[in-house]
This record gives sequence, C-alpha cells and structure tokens, in this order.
Amino acid sequence: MSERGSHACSFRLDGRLFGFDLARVREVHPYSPWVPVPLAHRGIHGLVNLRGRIHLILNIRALLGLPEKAPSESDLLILFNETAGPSLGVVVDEIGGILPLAGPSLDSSGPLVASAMAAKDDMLTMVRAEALISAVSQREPDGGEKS
Amino acid sequence: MKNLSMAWKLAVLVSMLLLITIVVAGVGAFKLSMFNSRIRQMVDFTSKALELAFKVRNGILQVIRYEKSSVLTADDGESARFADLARGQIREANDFRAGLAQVLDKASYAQERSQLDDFNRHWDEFRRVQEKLLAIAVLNSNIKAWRIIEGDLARNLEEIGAFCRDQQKSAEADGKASDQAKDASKGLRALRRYQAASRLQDATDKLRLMLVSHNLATDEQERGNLDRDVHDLQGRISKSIDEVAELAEDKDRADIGRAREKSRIAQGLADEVRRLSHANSTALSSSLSLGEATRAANACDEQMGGLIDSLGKRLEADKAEVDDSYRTALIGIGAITVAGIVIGIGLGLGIERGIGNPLKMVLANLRRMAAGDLTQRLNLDRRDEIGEMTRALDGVSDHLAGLMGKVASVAENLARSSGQLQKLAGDMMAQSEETTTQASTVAAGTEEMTATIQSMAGASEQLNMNVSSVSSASEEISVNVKGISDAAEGASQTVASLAKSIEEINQSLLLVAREAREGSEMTEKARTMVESANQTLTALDHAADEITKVTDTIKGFALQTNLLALNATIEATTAGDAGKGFAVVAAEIKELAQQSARSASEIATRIDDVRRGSRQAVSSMGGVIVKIGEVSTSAGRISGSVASQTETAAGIKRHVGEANQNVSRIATAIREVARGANDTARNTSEAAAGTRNLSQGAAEAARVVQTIATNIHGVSEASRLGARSATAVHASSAELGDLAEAMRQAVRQFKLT
Repeated sequence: MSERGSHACSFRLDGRLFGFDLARVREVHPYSPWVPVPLAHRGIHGLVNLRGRIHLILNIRALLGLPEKAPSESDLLILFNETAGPSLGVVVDEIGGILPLAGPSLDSSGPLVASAMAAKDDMLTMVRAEALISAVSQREPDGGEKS
Repeated sequence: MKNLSMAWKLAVLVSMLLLITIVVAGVGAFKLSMFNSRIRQMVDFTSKALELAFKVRNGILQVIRYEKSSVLTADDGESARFADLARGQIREANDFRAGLAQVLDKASYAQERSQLDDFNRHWDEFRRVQEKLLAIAVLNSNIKAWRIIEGDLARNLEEIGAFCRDQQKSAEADGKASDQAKDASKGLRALRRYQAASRLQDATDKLRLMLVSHNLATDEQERGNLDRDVHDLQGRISKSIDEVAELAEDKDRADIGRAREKSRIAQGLADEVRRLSHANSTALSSSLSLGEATRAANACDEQMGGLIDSLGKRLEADKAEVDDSYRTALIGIGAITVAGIVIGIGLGLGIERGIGNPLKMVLANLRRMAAGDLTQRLNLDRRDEIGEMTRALDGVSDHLAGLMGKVASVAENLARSSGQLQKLAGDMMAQSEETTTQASTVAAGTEEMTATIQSMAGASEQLNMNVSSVSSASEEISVNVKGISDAAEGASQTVASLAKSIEEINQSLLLVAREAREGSEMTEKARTMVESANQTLTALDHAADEITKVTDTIKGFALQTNLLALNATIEATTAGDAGKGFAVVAAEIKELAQQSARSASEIATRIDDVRRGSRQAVSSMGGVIVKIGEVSTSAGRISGSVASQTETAAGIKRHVGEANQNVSRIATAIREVARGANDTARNTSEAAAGTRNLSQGAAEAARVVQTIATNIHGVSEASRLGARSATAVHASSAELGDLAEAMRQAVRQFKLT
C-alpha cells in the first residue's frame, strides 16, 4: 500500500465503482467522439483531439474484462497526467467524485487492479492508471484485431 | 344405534376398542402366568427330579464299575481303593436318592414316589449285596492261590522236577554201568531209582495240575475230592522222595536233602493254595458280582429307568402342556384380538355406513338441487345429526320448490299481465289515434257549426231587416234582445278567455322552445370554450416545451459546471496544501451546479405534471363537448317538437280566435239587432219571441262552441299525453314482457314436481 495516494477519482462502469489515484488524473472531460485506430489493440478506442492535444483513448471495459457498451453522449473521458503515460484517457459511464482514501483495503496481485476497499455503501476497486499503457502495449493473447 | 348421536357412536366405538384391549391384556396376562407356572414346575420339579434320578442311576453304574474293578484287580491296595470308591458312590447315590424322594414329595408325584419306594427296596438289597461283595472282593484268595501256584510252588516243583531228571539220568547211567559190569543187583537198584524218580516227577506234575483244578473248582464237593487227591499226591511225593533217597548214592545226599526241603516247601505251598482255594473269594465275589449283584443292580437300574422314563414322560407331558398353554394363550389372544378387530371394523363400518351413505345421498341431492331438480326428498327416519341434516335439506328443497313454484306462477302472471298491458297499451294508442281523429272531426264539426252560426247570423240579419220594419213597435223585444246581446257578450268573453289560455300555453311552449334554443346556444358556447381552452393548452404545451429546453440547457450547464468543479477539485488536490482553499470553493461550485441541476430537473418534472394535467383537462373537455353535443341534439329535437306543438296550438288559437270573432260579430250583430229592434221591441213581441229563441239558440251555440273548443283542446292535449303515455307504457310493457319471459325461462330450469 506504499503507492496509495490520499484521494481517488472514482467512476462507475455498469454501476460498479472503480477509482484511479487522483495524483494520476489531470482532468475529466465531456464525451468527445474519437477516431478509431485500425488494427489497434482491443483495449484502444482511438484518438481524440482535445484542445489541440492528441489523446489516446483506452477501452477500460476491455482491459477490465467488462462487457462492451456503445459510447453515448453522457459518457465522460478521464484524462491522465504524464505520470500515467503520454496523453492517455479512458471512457467511463459516470464520475463518482473525489473520494478520500482511508480505512483498510484488500491488495491485489493483478497487473491492473491495485486494491479493493469499502467506500460508503459501496466497494471501490482501485485501478492502476500507470499500468494501463503497458496493458495495451502487450501482444494480445489471441493476436486478434480490434473488432 | 341409528338414532344415537355421532358422539355416542364414536364413544361406543372407542369403548369397544378399549374393552378389547383390556380383555386381550387380561387374557394374555392370565395365560402367561399359567405358562410361567408350568415352566417353573417343569424346571423346579420334573427337571430336578430327572436330574437326581439320572445321578442315582449314574451312581449305581459307577458303583458297579468300581465294584467290578475291585473284584478284577488282583492288587490288594488297588482293590481296596476301588472298594472305597464304590462305597463313596453308594453313599453319594443314597444322598441323591434321598434328595429325589424329597423333590418327589414336594412335587407330590405319587406314581414316581411309589416307583421310588420300589427302587428303595431294590436299592437296600443292592447295597447289602455290594457290601458283601466288596468285603469279599478285597480278599482275592483265588488270585493269590494262582500266584502261589505260578510262582513259588512252580519254582519248587520245577527244582524237584530237575532233581528227578538228574536222578533219572544218574539212574540210567548206573543202569548202563551195571549192564556192562553185569552187576544185576546194582542194575535193579538203578532201575528202581529211575522208577522212583519218574513217580516223583509224575506226582509233582500232577500236584500242580490238581492245585490248578482245585483253584478252578466251582463247588465244595469237587474241591473235597480234589483235596483228597492232593493229599494222596503229597503222600506219594514224600514216599517217592524217600524211595529215591533210599536208593540214591551217597554223592546225591545233598541233592536229596535239597529236594526233600523243596518238597516240604511245595507241600506247605500246596496247603496254602488249598486253603486259599477253599476261601474261593474271587470266584465267590465274581459269582456274586455276576449274579446277585448284577440282578440287584439290574433291578435298581430297571426301577430307576422306570422312574426316569416316567419322569421323562412327565417332562414330555409338561412340555406338551407348556406348548399347549402357549398355543392356547396365543390362540386366545389372537382370537380375542381378531374378534375385537372384527367387531371394531363392523362398528366402524356400521358408523361409516350410518354417516357415509346419508352424506352421499345428501351430496347427490345437493348436486341435483344445483342442477335445478327440486323434486328429490331423502325422508330419512333418523334422530341423529345426519337425520336432522337430511330433514333440514328436505326442508330447504321444499322451501325452494315452493318459492320457485311461486316465482314461476308470478312470472306466468307477470307475462300474462305484461301481454295484457301491451295489448291495452296498443289499444290505448289506437284509441288515442282515434281520439285525435275524432278531435279533428269535432274541429271540423265546430267549423261547420261556426259556418252554421254565420249563416244563422245572416238569417238574423235578414230577420233584423224584416224586424226593423216592426222594430218601432217592439220595445219589449228590444229589452229582451238586450238580454240576448248581453248573453252573447258573455259568450264572447268566455271564448276570449279560452283564446287567452291557449295563448298562455303557446307562450309557455315558446318559452320551452327558447330554453331549448338557449341550451343549444350554451352547448355551442361550451364547445367554443373548450376549443379555446384546447388552443390555450397547445400554447401551454409549446411554452412547456420551451421551458423544458431551457431546463435541459440549465442541466447541461450544471453538468459542465460540475465537470469544471471536479477538474478544479482535481487541480486543487494535486496542488496539495496550497490548493485546499480552492478545493473548498470548487466543492461549493460543484454543490451549486448540482443544486441548479436538481432545480432544473424539478422544474422539468413540474412542467411535465402541468402538461399532463392540462392534457387530461383537454381530453375531459372533449368528453364534455361530446356530452354537450348530445344534449344540444336532444334540445334541438325538443325545440322541433315544441315548434310543431306551438304550430298546432297556434292553429287551435287561430281557430278559437276566429270563433271568437264570429261570436263577437254575432254579439255586435245582435246588439245592432237590439238597437234596431229597440223601437219595435214592444210591438214585435212575437218576432221578439222568435228572435229571443234565435238569440237563445245562438247563445247556446256559442256555449256549445266554447265547450267544444275547450273539449277539443283538452281532448287534443289528453290524446297527445295519452299517446305519449301509451308509447311509454307500450315500451315498458314490452320490457316487462321480456323480463317476464326471462324469469319464466329461469324458473323453468327448476324441476318442481
């Protein structure tokens, strides 16, 4: 738990509560349509130009093994700062707010999921933002293309 | 049983079952106690007695065995030991016998007891014989004699024999030597010595055989004979030895002395053998053992065997009895149980039949009642609950049947009445039609009458002209005509009042028509209002849409503000302590954004509510318009019918007015006649009389006309009312007829007889 920050930027996917270390998050941006990248990793949605800067938008659902969902106007983009990688972002269903991190947690040995803990009436799963880029850099086990 | 109540029946059943259980338990206990006593008797007495008897028998056999052993054993010690053992066995058997006697006494087995007494006699005999036998058996005299014969005596006799053989050999050698020496005396002496030795040899051999025979001899006489023979032999042996000693050489002296010694010993031994043989104990004891003792033992054994057999039989009998009592107990319990079950099942079946069958009948009857058949009655003659139930059911059937019968008859009556009513209504309609026709006819008659009155007026004019010539002289007539005129005036007034009342009716009809028109107008107004409300609501809808758009925009703003606030929070948090104040502001902004989003949502919800409400109102108003349209249509119809009525009333009014005018004209004419006649009145009394008649006739006519008009009006009104009522009655009676028919059909479903 040495790398645990003091706050989490929480978000929801299919109603489940996830969170990134707030120290990795630069900003939250409204939905903006992206340009798909052909033959890219399944975990990559595409590229989007936000205020003159090109961001790589990742498919966190694919990375976390959640069912796919068509993007909608109500979706939000969480953009990370340079500590998580070069101009990265993920698409989430909704933002859960900034949550202080306190209390006991259950550490995970997985590459993406850092830990799990109680947050109010819910369970918060912390995701390693810095591990996202390495997750999409690996060869896909099935070597498949993005469908 | 049939008339007992259910509770009593069940109580009887339960008490029967209880009784059976108690009886089964009692019989079981009784039989088991019997069974137990039998087994106890068998174990305590018979088995015990049998065991003791076997022990006694075993003791007897043991005694015999030991006694035989004692007799057969040659060794004194062994023999005495066996004898002691035999005695011990006798004592033991005696004890067992006493115990057996006690057991038999206790069990009071008379037959076995007498058998035991018999056995006791034999037992005493057996004991006596055994005592004797055992006393003899330990002596073993014959065996001792044998031993002496085979042992010491045989050895001595053998030595004597050997001496004899030596003497014979030396005598032979002497004989041969004397032959060679031709010494006859010496040869003779040798021969005599040989013969003496041979005789000695023979005597010793015989002595042994004699003693064996003596020892084997069975009776005393033989033994006495043998005693004599033995005595002779002993004498001969002594004599032979003396002869040998006399003839022997000196060198044989020692041998002869030894032989003489041996002979003496042998003779002593022979005497001892004879003595022992005379004692004859072994043979005696053997004979005792084989004879008397065996008989006694056999008798004892036989008695004891008999006793054992009888005890065995008793045991068998006891066993059979135990088996029997077990079987009877089993059969008794089984039989009572079976009987109890049969009685219980019988009672149960009886009660079940007593309850089940009537219930089935009741059920069947209820099904039939449900199907409409009310003719069935159960008529059960029972005084229990079932009986009451069936009676109540029959009562219900009766009551229902009566009720249905009444309903059926009422329906019939109703149908008949409604038919009659319908017919009456038809008649009434026809009559009112006829009345209307008749009223028309009467109206025509009135017209005619008016024409007649007019022609009468013309005639009066002519008459007036005729009378004017005589008017001056008819003052009196004038006065009278004045009266006529007054009467005509009165008639005219009456007709006028009739006209007025018609006018009033007309007015009220007009009022109705106006109100109907007003209703129609109001409907139109309401429709217009609804339409305008609809338009307003459409406008409201548009406005609401606009507001929704605005609230959506506000929501968007709130979302963006929220995001901005979130990002500000992120910035502030990354800034650490420096950003803390900013974080508070960001949180406030976020809160504000969320509030504005909430307010926008609330406004949108309210607007939606208002829209929903107004849409409902518009749709309700649409419904109201339809209703008002319907009302308007009926008002139009009312208006039409009132208009036609008004027309009719106006026609009547017109006719009555004309009549009035005619009557007025008559009055005026009469008044003119009166004025003209004023002068001639007094002189034209005859004419006056005629004119008065005429006037009277006219007045009468006017009155008739008035009455007719009134009547026509009334008749017309009544016939119209009558027609309407008749129509209503017709319709109602038709409905009534339908109802009656339906009722009849409903009642027909029930079978009553």
